[in-house]
Amino acid sequence: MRSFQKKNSLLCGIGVFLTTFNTNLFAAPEYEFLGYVRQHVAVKLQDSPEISAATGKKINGKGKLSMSRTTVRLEGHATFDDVKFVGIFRSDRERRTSYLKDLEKSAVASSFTPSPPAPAAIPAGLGDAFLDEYDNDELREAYVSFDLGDRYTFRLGKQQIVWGETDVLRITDVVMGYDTRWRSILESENEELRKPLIMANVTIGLPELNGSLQLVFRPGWDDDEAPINNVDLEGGRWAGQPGKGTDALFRAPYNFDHSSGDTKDANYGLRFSGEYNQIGYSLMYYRGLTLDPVVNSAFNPFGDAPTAPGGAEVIFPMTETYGFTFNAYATPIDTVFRGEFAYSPNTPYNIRGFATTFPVGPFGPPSIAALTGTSGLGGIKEKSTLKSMIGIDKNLSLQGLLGTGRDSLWTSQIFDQWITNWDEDDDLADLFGYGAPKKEHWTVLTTVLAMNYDYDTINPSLTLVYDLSNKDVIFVPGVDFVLGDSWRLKIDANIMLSASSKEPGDSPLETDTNLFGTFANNSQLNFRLSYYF
Amino acid sequence: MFKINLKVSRLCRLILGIALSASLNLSAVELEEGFVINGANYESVKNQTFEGHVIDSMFSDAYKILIKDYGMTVRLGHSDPWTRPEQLIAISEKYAPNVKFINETNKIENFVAGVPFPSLDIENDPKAGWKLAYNIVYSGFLGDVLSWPTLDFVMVSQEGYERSITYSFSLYQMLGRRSSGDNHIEGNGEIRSLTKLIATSPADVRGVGSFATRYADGRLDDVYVYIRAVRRFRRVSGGSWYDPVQGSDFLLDQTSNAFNADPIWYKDFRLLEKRIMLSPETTTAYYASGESSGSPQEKYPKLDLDTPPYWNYTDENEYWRPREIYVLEAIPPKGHPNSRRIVYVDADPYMPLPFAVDNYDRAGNLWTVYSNTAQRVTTADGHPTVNPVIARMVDLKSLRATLLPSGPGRVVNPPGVTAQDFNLESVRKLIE
Repeated sequence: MRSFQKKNSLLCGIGVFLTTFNTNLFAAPEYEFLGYVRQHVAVKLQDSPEISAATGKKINGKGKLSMSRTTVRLEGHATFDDVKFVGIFRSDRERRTSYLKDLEKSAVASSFTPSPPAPAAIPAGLGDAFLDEYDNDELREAYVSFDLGDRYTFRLGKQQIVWGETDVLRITDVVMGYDTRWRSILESENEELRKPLIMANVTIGLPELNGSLQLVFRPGWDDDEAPINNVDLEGGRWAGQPGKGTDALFRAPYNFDHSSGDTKDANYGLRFSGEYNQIGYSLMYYRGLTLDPVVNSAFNPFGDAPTAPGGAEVIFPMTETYGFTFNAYATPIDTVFRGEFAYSPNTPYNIRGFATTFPVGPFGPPSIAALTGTSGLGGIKEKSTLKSMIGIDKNLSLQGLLGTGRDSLWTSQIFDQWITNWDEDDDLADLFGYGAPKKEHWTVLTTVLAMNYDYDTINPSLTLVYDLSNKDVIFVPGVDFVLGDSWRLKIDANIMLSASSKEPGDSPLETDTNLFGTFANNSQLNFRLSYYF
Repeated sequence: MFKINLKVSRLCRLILGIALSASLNLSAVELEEGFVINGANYESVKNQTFEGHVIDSMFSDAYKILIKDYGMTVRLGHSDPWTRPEQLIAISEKYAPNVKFINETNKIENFVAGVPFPSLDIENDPKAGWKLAYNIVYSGFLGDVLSWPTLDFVMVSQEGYERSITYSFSLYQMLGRRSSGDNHIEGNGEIRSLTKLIATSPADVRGVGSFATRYADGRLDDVYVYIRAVRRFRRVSGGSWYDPVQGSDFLLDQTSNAFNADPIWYKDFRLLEKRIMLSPETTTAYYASGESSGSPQEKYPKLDLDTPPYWNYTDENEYWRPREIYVLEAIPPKGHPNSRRIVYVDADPYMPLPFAVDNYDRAGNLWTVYSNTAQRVTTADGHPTVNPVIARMVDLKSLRATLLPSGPGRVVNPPGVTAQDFNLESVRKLIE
C-alpha cells in the first residue's frame, strides 16, 4: 500500500509538473512501435556428470536441447513535444525439454532431507525448482523522459542505467543486476540480461566543465529480487558443476530483508562524465546492494543470524563503490585505449570455514567446512577490493589475409580484481560451495575479433575469455547472418575449457575449482533466429 | 615516285578529313530541352549539341558507361545559374582576402567564414586543387545546421533490392557560421563541426548511433558509438573516416556532400581542368516516403527497384543542365580503398557542389561512381542553398549500388538548435 501510494503520488506529481511547464501533451504525438520475435535453441555438446537425485543415474544430456526459448519483445515510444514515454514488454516461454525435465526432477528430489525419496514419492508436476523461472511476462522498462531547461534531462521510471567501459565483466556497472539463469553471461546484447529498476535519473549538463553530472536514485519500489544478480542456484542448465540438478536455494533461501542489505532500501549514486584534452573520463560513486550473493551462516552470522531452518541464507549486503573510467584515441597507432577502476572498501566475501574451528572434544575440533561438508559457511568478511581494467581496441586490415569486406575490430582487455588487504588467514572462499581459496588477485584476459563479409551480411566473431589466475578458458566462435531487412540468424558455440573442475564424488572440500571451472562439461551450440518488426 | 605518291595520299586524306569534320559540325543538331538521352540513342546523339556544346563532351567516361550499358537516362535542361547566395558572397568578400594558403603544409590560416578561395587560377597555381577542396569543405555552403531526419541507404545488387538502413543525420557547424550574425565562431575555435548519425530502421540496427567531433586543425575526429544493445557508448577509432558505411557501397568520407573529410587528410589535390558538363538538378522534394513500413517500392517510389540494374530512378522533374565544372583529382592517403578520385565540382565559387566522383581502386581501375542530384532550397532563415535529393554509389566491379534517397523533413538552419543539442547525451536520448 505504501509503495502504491508513493507511485501514485509520483505520477500525479509528474502530471502537475508537465502541465506547469507548458508541455503540450495534446500536441500530435509521434508514435513508434517495434520489436522482435525470437527463437533460441541450444544443444548440449557434452554430458553433464552430475548424478540425478531422482534416479541415481548420470544426467548426461549430450546432444539434447538444453534450451528452446521463444521470446516476443514489444517496444513503444510516444513523444509529445519534448516529453517521451517508453515502454518495453518482453514475454519468454521455454519448452520443457527432456534434459530440463531431468534436471528439474533431480532438483526437486534434492530438496528432500535427509536424502531424496524414491522416485515414486516425488510430487508430480514440474516447475517447483527452476523451470518456472525461465518463463516470464515482464514490463521490462516503462519510463518518461523530458528536459527541464537547457541543462536538465530527467528519466523517471523503470529503466536501465549502465556505467563503465568493460566488456563481459563489470566494474563500475554496479547499479543493476543481471539474470544469468537462462543464458549465463553469453547473450551478446546484455540489455536482455540486465534487470531494469525503478529509478529517478537526472543528467545535468555542465558545459562549463565540458561534462555532465548524472544523479541516480532507486527508491526501493521494485520487487524483492529485482536489484540483485540472479545466479543459477536451483540446479538448472547454468548451475555450476557439480550443482546441476541440485536446488541449493532450497537449503539456503534468499533473505531480501537482512539487516546488512534490504532490497527495499534506497540506493543512490552519481557520475560525472567529461572530456579533457580529447580523453573521455568519468568519476562515480554508488551506494547499493552487493549484486553477487553471499551466504549468511548460522555458524558465524553476519549481522542478524539466518532464520532459515538450514542455518544458511543468501543475502546481499550494502556496499559502496568509487570508480573512475577513461577512454582515449592514440592517432599514431590508430588505437583506442580504455580503462576502468572501482574501489569498494567493504566487499563481502564468504569465509571457507577451513580454518574456523570450535571445541568439540579431546580429538581435535573439526573445521566448519569439514563438519558441514560445505565450503563457505565460515561467515562473511568485508574486504577492500579494487577492480581494474585496461583495454585496447584496434582496427585490423585483414582484407588481404582473410578476405574480409572491411577492417576488422580487435578488442582486448585485462581485468583484475585485487583484494587490497588480502590476508591468507582470512580463509576467504573464491566461490561458495567450492573449496578453492580466494586469491589476492584474480586476473582475466578477454579478446574479441569481429569480422565482416559480404557487405556486413555475414559477420563472424571469435571471443576468448582466459582466466589467467586459474587457467580456465571460455571460447566463443560465432557468426551473425543478416537476411534482408527483418531476419537475423546468429549461431555460436560456447566452448568451456576448464583447467580444473569439481566432479560429482569429489571431496566436498576440493580446492581447485574456480568460477569458470564451474562451466565444465557445459559447452553448447546455440542458434538464434530473430524476426524484427 | 612511291614516296611522293604516299605524301600526296596523306595530304589528300588530311584535306578530306578536315572537310568531313566541317561538314559534320555544320550538320550537328541542336537538341531541345526535354530530350532524353539513353543507352538506345546515345551513339546517335553523342555528336549533337546542346547549347552549342557537343553532347559527348559533357559526360565523364563513367557516366557514358552508366548511360550506354546500365540504363541511366538524362533529360536535357537549359542552363540556369544557381540563385545567388548574397549572404555567403558578402561574407566571402569580407574574409577571403585574408585567407592564406601555406604551401609547405597545405593548411590554411586566417579563415573566418565564407568561401576561402573564391577565385582559382587553374593555369598557374599548383595549389588550386587544394584550394578548391577547402572551398568545398570550409565554406559551409549547404548551411550551418543540417537536420535530415531520414537518410536512407538502399542497397541493391544484381538480384535486386537487398536491404535498407535508415539513419537520422544532423550536423552543426561551429566554425564559419553564417546564421549567427557576425559571430562566425562558436566555442573556442577548436572544433569545426559536430555530427550525429543514428540508425532508426530496421529494428535490429535501431539504436546504433555515432557522435563525431571534427577539429579545426585537421586532427582526426573523436568518434563515439552508442550501442543500444549494451546501453553504452564506445570510443572508436578516428582513423575510420574512410570505412564503409554499414552494409553499403559508400565510404564514410563520401556520405555528406561526397566529401566528408578534412582536406589535410588527403595526400594531394590537383585541379585538372574546367569544362562544361551536364549536371542534374530536380524540383522533386524527396525520393523516399519517410515511412518505415511498406514494400521497398512503396517506401522509395522514385527508385526503379523492379528494373535491372535496379539502381536507376525515374524523376520527370530532373533536368541535366550544362554547367561549368572543375575536374579535381584527389589522392587519398595510403590505406584508403581508393587510389585516386576524380571529383566533378560545380565551378560556381559560391556553390562548390561535388555532383559526381569517379573512384579508382588501388590498382588504378575505375571501381565506384558517385553521383547526386541537387534541389534548390531555402534555409529556414531565408538563404538559398541546395539539398542533395538523391545520391548514388554504383560499384561497377560487383554490379551493385547504394542509393541515398532523401526523405521528408529536411531542414537547413532550423531555429532553436544549439551546440548543446550535439553531445553524447543527446544521442542517447534520441536512441532510447
